[in-house]
Amino acid sequence: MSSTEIRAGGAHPGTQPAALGPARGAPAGLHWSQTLPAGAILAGLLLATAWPGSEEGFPLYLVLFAVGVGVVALARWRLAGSDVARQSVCDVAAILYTILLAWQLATAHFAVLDPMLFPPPELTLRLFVKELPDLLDCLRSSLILLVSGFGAALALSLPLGLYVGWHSRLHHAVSPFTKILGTIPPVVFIPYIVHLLPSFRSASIVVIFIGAFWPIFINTVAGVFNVPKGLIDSGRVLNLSTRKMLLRVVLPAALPSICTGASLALCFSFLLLTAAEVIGANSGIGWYVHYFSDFADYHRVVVGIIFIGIVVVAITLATERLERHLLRWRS
Amino acid sequence: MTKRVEIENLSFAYRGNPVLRSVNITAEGGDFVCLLGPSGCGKSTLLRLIAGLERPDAGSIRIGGAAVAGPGLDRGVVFQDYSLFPWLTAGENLVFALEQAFPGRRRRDHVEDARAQLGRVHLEGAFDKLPSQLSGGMRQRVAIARAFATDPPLLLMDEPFGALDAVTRAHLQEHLLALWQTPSGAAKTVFFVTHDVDEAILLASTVVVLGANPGRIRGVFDIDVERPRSRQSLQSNPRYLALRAAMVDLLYERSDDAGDAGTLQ
Ligand SMILES: Nc1ncnc2c1ncn2[C@@H]1O[C@H](COP(=O)(O)OP(=O)(O)OP(=O)(O)O)[C@@H](O)[C@H]1O
Ligand SMILES: [Mg+2]
Repeated sequence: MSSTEIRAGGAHPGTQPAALGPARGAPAGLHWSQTLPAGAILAGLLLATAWPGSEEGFPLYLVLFAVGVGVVALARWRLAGSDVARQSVCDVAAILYTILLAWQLATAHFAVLDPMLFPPPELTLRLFVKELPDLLDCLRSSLILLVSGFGAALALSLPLGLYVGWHSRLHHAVSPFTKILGTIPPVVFIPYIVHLLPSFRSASIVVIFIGAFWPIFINTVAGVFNVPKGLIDSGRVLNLSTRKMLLRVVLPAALPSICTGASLALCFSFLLLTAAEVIGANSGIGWYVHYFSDFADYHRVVVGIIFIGIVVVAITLATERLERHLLRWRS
Repeated sequence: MTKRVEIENLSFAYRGNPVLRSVNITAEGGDFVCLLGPSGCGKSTLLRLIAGLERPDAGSIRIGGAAVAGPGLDRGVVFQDYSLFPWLTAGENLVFALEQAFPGRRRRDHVEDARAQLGRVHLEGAFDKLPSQLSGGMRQRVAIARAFATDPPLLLMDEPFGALDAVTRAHLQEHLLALWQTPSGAAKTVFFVTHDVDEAILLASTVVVLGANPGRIRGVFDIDVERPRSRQSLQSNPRYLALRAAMVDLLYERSDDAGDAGTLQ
């Protein structure tokens, strides 16, 4: 594709800036050289596993994991749409392998790190697989709290934010209160609410609700307030009812700001969820980490932390997708 | 169904700053009125008053005898930008307006109608395109198609071609005239804001020249040049040249050494 561009440029000598030559001249296909750093570090990692260290037996899980990551990365690299995407797949794989290699060397080979606190990768992976059913149970329990609290906050703050943002008198009347209430860190409510409500679960839902409510509400109000006047006028000349104006003009126009508020709210929710679980739960992913650290079982703590990391990344990716879909109309 | 528009003694101020003073304009049904004037003289404000987006401080606007009380679907409006909703495709923008104008019809009929209207501005292929995927000229064509789609007796256009290059602009002027001159379009009364003298003469049956500080009428010209008018033939038309000279004089005259000009016909 780009080679024809180069030829077209060649027909007009002098018009093609020389600096563009090498960058554009490379074929748009796959450069195997991109995979070299990741491949080299993977080879080093595999070599390290073959080299007998402190651990007993062959680190099967680690090798399987490393090769599995490699297969996924290779597939994504082949299917990636752009050169930038291909390069970043390789870079991410290289960084992941570097971490694994350093971790392996520091724990299994040179014992630089305390084995009580830092299990080697092989042990961690094995424990992860073993603990997965329990972890998934914990996740289910956590997600129920998260979805209830966040869902209730979204269901209430979105319509309320639309209404308050649209009625400017109400907006001005309410804004001093939202400014104060919205800035109180919701964590400080936890002990109070735990005493106020009968069960731990209801208390955590309320805490998450409070934490998620304000970011969505404040961003919805701001989004509505900042809707370009021209769009409102376009709605007014179509003689829209207030209801239709809010749902079909103001809501979509404010959606970028609402999405910002909602992702912030989701971050807060997760933070509050784990904090609440640490304080008083008997299930959940935050509880899991807290529970085993009380028993000084730091291997399970590490596994729990890694699991939480994976969950957060998955949720973040999903919401980013959703946001991109909802806002695909923006250029 | 033609609608006569009567603007009587209209005055308007933004928070105490007078913008329009004692404006009188009468447009017969089917007139194409161009509002011509320097920047800031209140052309957009006048159009917004007719659209019902602002309320006059004094005087009245009557459309077909009825005083304007607010926005309504009897007036199709095209703004310089922001006319289209960016989250709806071109087709859905038309469907949305059609649903408002003709509630109770089936959605399938609206979609079919929207396709046909886009076809009239040669954009049948743009039905599923988002405004951000269209060029500025295409967007304005969609906006014009939408204004015509609901078949309002009155069309209000605020510099709809202001942001376009000269060639695109010329094409869109032709599109607009073609729509206005169809049997269903000819009945429409049009108010068209511009600060381009040539555009005004090419399109209008009446040109109203406004002056600034505060906005008021400096002159009214009947454009008695035969249609179809083409840019090329106008260049050698003595009537056109005379009208153009008179308008340019009025526009560039320093407002303090001119009294309120009377009606020039
Ligand atoms: N929302 C507003 N608030 C206060 N003053 C305004 C507002 N809109 C317009 N004005 C003032 O009213 C006057 C007329 O503005 P208007 O937009 O009608 O001018 P215009 O003739 O359309 O100018 P242009 O050719 O630049 O579009 C200007 O002096 C402007 O400052
Ligand atoms: Mg204007």
